[in-house]
Amino acid sequence: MKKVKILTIILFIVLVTMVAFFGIFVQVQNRMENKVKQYSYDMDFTGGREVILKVDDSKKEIIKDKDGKIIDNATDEEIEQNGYVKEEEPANKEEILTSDNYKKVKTILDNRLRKMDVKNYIVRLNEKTGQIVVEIPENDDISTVTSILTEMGKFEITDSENNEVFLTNDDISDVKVMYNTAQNGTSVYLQIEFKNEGSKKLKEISTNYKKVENSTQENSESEDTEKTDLEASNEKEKKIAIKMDDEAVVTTSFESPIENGMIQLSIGNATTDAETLNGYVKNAKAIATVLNEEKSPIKYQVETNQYVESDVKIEDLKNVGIAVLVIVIVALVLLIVKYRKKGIMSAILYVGVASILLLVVRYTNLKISIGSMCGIIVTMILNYILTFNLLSNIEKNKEINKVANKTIGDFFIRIIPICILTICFSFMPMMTISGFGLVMFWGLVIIAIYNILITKNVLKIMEEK
Amino acid sequence: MKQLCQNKKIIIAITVLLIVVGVIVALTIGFNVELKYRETQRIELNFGKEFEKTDIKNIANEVIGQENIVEKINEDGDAVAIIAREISDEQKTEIVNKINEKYELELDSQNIKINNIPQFHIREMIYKYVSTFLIAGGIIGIYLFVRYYKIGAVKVIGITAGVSIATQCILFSILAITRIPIGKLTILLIISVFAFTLYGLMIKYENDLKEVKEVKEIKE
Repeated sequence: MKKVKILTIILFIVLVTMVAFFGIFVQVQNRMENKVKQYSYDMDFTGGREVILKVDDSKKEIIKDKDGKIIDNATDEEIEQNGYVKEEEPANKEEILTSDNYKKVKTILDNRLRKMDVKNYIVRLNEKTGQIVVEIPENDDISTVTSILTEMGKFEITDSENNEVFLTNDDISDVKVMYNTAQNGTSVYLQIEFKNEGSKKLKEISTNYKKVENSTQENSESEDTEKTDLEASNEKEKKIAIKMDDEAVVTTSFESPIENGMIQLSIGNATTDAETLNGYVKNAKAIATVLNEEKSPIKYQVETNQYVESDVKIEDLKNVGIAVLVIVIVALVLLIVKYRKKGIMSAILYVGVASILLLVVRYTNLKISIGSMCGIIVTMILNYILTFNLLSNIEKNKEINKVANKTIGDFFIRIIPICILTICFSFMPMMTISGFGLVMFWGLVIIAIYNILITKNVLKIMEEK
Repeated sequence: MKQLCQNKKIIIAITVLLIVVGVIVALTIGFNVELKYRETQRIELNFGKEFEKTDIKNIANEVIGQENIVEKINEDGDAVAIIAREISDEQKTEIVNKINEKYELELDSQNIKINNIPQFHIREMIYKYVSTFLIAGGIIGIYLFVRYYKIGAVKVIGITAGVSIATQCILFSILAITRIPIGKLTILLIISVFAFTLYGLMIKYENDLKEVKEVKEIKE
């Protein structure tokens, strides 16, 4: 009976190990397909995107009237007739191209990337030229992420006709992404909240720029045609323009005065398609991130945006794996030499922990990075220490159940600070350390459950007569 | 007992010496930061066809020296970037000529620009971890205070902080002296050393606590 129990456990561990290391292959059409979930790899192994930004050195042609006011559009004839002047305006004035402003832009980009939950990013700055190099992981959000790198984040609410500025970035207190679900689907919108002064100003402009009601309806009534035309010309609807980076995104008027100091901007149309909705949310989040940050003092443009392969290849992992395997074999041989039969069994059980951890890494979508690999190594070292303590204490005292419980309990009391570190690191935004923390977290959970349920009972069975 | 004290003194003396040498090396020569994080120069070559990275690496090693990075760029993988601390115009021309010869290409070195890539300060990477370390350190401190108040909580926290700082100083001294490159792995090395230092200290504290409890039981 004892032999059957032990053989069953060994077979189970061998099976788990085979699945973890080699997978389960099933014939699909004419090929063999591995049914075990594949590992997903991080930027450390898959490479990433490198975006080089340079200070925008372009020049824009502008038309000014005699008073120096900028005119939106004018034909050559109008320019000649009204005495307008054409000028070339640089995208960035010479005086703003300072080292302090370059550093400020770098900080703004850093904050934007952090708020967009971009992991493992690197921002480099050449303080002399202002050149910025951003390295980000390659994923589905890449176009949204790259879009926030060049936006200045300049926000303005102006009169659509004379460009008089009413509200700017300085008046915004917060920008949130909101959802509204109705019968025709979910719509995504941006809620821009203004500070006290901004709210008062918003109330004022929403009163002054009110929609002229019934003007079209009245136009259609033939009997009042003359009267309506007159009214329409008198009450010509004034509109405001909401501008981002000097481009009008919305030109509108208000239905009623806004009392709560908030405006909502709809992003896309209401939809039931999850992918489309996700796209809208990403866009809205990108705009909210940009507006919640300070506006960039310098305009940048993308010089290059290209994929860069990692200098560490997935194949290199195999070499690391072989090196780790050699160390593990040496350590397990030591265990076998010292504790004989129990050492052999513990070595098999030890391989079981490694296999389960690798399966958990696959199915919890943890990305294989340098950090997570270090997490696996530290977990395995801790499990080795526990196994060694367990065997050593069992040698001294044959009451397996009591000794095992005490040893496992003592071990976990000793690693409480490591558990605290693990949990704190799991919440870190940087992948290097969060990968380490997450793998360690799962590793410690597996060590606890596995040793209490399996290792302890196997050693107990071995002692049975 | 005398032997034990003498051994302890020798260990302390070696540790202090290691830290002093490490500090001197770090202040005079500095740490050996990975090339990836340094201020570098880079050339990009578009092959327009498949190529072997090892061939380019060999050419780069031959012309620039061993300290270089060769990475494939573009989704198609038909272009390469060669990164080194400095690439002169002569070296650029030599690399291009050798690649032209090897792959029967007609790349013109005049059209290939040497780009300057700014450095990434390692301290920026470390700043990102400071808040997490402080939170984790605070929680560990509270835990140590509650669990070991019987053996002197303040002493325990003091020893933990002191030993942790000392081990990190030793680690950085070793990194400075041995010229092991500082990069992504360094932060993981710091964490691993910190974790095992804590584990070692906890074994000591648990033994001390056990002794105190035993003495109390005997007295009672």
